Amino acid sequence: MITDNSTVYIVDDDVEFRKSLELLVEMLGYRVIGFSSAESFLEFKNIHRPACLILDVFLPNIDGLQLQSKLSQQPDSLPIIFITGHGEIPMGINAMKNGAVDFLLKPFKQEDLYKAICQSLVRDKAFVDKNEKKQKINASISLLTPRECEVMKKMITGKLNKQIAAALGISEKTVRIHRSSLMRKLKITSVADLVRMLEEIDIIHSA
Amino acid sequence: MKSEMLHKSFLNHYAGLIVLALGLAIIASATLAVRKNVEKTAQREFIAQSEVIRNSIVDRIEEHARILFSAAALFNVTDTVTREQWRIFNKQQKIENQLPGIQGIGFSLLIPREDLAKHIQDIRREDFLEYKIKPDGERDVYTSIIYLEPFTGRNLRAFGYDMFSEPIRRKAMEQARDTDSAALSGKVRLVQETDKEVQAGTLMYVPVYRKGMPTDSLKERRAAIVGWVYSPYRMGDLMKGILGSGLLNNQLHLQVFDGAQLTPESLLFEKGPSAKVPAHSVVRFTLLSTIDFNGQHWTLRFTKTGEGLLTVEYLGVWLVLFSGIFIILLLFALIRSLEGTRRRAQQLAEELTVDLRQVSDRLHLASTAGGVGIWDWDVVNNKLVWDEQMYQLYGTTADQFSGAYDAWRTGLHSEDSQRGDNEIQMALRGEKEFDTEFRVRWPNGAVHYIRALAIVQRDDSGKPLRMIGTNWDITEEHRKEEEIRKLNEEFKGRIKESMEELVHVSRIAILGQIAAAVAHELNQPLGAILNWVSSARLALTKEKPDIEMVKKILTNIVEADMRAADVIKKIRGLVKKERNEFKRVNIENLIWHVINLMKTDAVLKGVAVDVELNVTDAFVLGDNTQLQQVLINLILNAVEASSKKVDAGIKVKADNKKEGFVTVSVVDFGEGLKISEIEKIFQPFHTTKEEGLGIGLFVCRSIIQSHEGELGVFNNDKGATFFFRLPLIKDSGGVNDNG
Repeated sequence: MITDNSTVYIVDDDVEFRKSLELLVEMLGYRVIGFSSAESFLEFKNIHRPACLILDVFLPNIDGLQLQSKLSQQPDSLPIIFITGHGEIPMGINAMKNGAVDFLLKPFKQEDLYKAICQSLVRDKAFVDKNEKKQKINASISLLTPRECEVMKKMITGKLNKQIAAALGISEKTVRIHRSSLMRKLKITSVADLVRMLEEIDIIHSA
Repeated sequence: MKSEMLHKSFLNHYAGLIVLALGLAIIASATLAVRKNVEKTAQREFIAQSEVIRNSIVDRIEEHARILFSAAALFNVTDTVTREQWRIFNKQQKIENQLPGIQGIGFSLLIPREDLAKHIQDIRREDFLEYKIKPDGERDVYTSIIYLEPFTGRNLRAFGYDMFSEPIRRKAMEQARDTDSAALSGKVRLVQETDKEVQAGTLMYVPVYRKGMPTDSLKERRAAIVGWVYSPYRMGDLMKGILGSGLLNNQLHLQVFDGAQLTPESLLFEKGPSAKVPAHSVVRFTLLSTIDFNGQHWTLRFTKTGEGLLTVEYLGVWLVLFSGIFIILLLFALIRSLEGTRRRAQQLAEELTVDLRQVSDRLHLASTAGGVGIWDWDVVNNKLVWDEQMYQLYGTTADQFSGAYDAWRTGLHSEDSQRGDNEIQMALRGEKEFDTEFRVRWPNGAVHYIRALAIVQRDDSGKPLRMIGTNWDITEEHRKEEEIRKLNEEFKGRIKESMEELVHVSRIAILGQIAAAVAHELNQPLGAILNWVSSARLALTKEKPDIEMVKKILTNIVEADMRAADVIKKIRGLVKKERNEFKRVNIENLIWHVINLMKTDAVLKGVAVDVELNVTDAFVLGDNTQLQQVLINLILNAVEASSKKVDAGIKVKADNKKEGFVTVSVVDFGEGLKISEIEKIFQPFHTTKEEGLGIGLFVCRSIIQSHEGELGVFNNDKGATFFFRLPLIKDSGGVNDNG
């Protein structure tokens, strides 16, 4: 059970319902922050991860679906659980397609809510972890010299030292020096490790 | 009477023809008489004319005889008459001028056979060297024309001719010698004639006896004869001289015959137009007349021709005929015309009589068939006359009817008799036409409705004399009218019921349309309640149950439940079927109430609702539920029309710009309405939506109309504006407020 440090954000304009939901989520062991409109949520910057968003579909001005599409433009968007007093199937499908974790009709059971929150938090935790790892790798890569970067790019395509030297117009010996230097900086021992690492941060495909 | 009429008509009919026939007969006889007269006159004239001509001829012949006698006398004066003497004598006579037509006057000498030679010698000695006696031949006695004046031209041919040798001439010469008188010969061809223009000829002889010899007896005269003075006549020339140019006109024809035989051989002379008379000319008169000159006969034949009746002579006849016919025809036409006029007048009179009888018959038939009774009231003498139909209309009979005004009055229904009196009096005073209805009670108690019309006849001063009118039974009509009225009311009642039902159905339909919103509104408190319950359960399952929290939660649950109940209550008004009652309705409250009910629906459809109320304390008299229904319908339509737009919104407004009225408008920003749709949208079962009955606006209009208001629509800049306008009531009381 992921409870520690996890936050649940709730956006619902119906005060009474939001209050009841805030209490229930709190009782389930999460930190809760409620908003009465999409605008007030968007203004709120201090979001702690892992977290998830419980979002009412019908909101004044900017409704839930609009907020979802706005949030999805950011790379680190929160997983969303939609709730609504009146839902139609097309609306739900649309929301799910756009990445919603679940679509709950009011009134909903505590178990369904809990399941959805857990699912969301697991997904966000994984995202957060991956993000941390990426940041570490990126920090290591940023220590490399430009020449070391070039050598690394050739390495992951499976080229031999001799081929790399020819391609870059340097001696085989120099290649070997760069290679050992970058392996040391990245704290790895084999080309396989390098490939795995770069896959982690999606560099291989973009390279 | 009929036969007399027929007789008269017959006379009248044939009068013209009789006059015509008689007239024509008279004209015919008159014409014939005139014609006869004309003919007679013509004949008389002809006879007179013929006589004149005959006399002229006789006179001329006798004149010639006298000339010859005078010439013969010359021989009595001297023994020998010389040629010169003869010439002079005849010249002095000037016969050519005075008696035209004479060829000459000559002397024929008797020459005994023994003296012939000496005679020829004597003449030849006178320088006529070739003289001889013609014709040659041996004869006992010779004659010779020794003198002939004028001795020129064709007369020269006669010189020496022996006339005694030719029998016709000889006969006349002998007659003259024997009777001592002038004698005319028969028809001869004169020796003077050439071959050209041969005319018949005749000669006249006068004897010349030897001077001093006795001539008393025939014997003495024969012995004394020495010669003859004679004149040859060419008949044409002679007659020309006699007749001149005036005596014969172009219609009078004259033929002169020698003797009594009228043959071409004996024809001496012919004069007249016969040779060139037109073919169609006819011989009208013929007259034979004889001239006897010393035993020689001439027969004169006069012929008068004419060119039929078409001549000036007959002008009078024609004049009589034609003018007579003309006058008669004129008379005939006049009689016919008069007769025609009279007959037409008679015919018209007969037709009118027939028409009048037919009209009368028809009137009777119509009044009987139509059940129309006719009454006639002598106002002055109070005598009321009814026809047969009237008795039937009043269920009575003639013998039970007194024939006075009161007899009618007693027949009336007791409730109508006073009014009947008044109507009659008003009509008599000329205040009102008598045109009314009343009931009559029959003796058997049955009540009948009567329709009555009448006119009033007045004298010069306007005093009513007489009142004539009609009655007919309208009981059946009354019954039918009553039936129709009842049916109509029943029908109206049913319509009203149906309308109420429709209004209700329409309201229920609204519920269907806002079901989502209702569900949403209910789900909020229900969802909250479930959350509270879940929280409470969690609170109780803790190692240390938090009772305080559960208490708090329970309070919240009650609140949520109340809220859910409110929602139910709010919509129950729409579903509830209640008898519509008009109460004071505060328009402001009504609008807010509806907005409250509808906002969820609008939000669900993504439509913002803007409210702009410019009224305070606006009250109308009406059915609160129904008026809500109207506004809900308008808002539902507006939301629907706007929902397809991005940032959609509608506006609900109220104002009392129009004095005494409140106007509630719902403005949408949809597509607006097509002109062709504007009138249709208020018709039942007209809808542009895929779902929906199409009765919403129809019901709205009915509701507003039943509130004496109006419901309308117009296109605004972006969409449509529906509005309703209701009459305001004075702000008094303030009870029975809605909301």
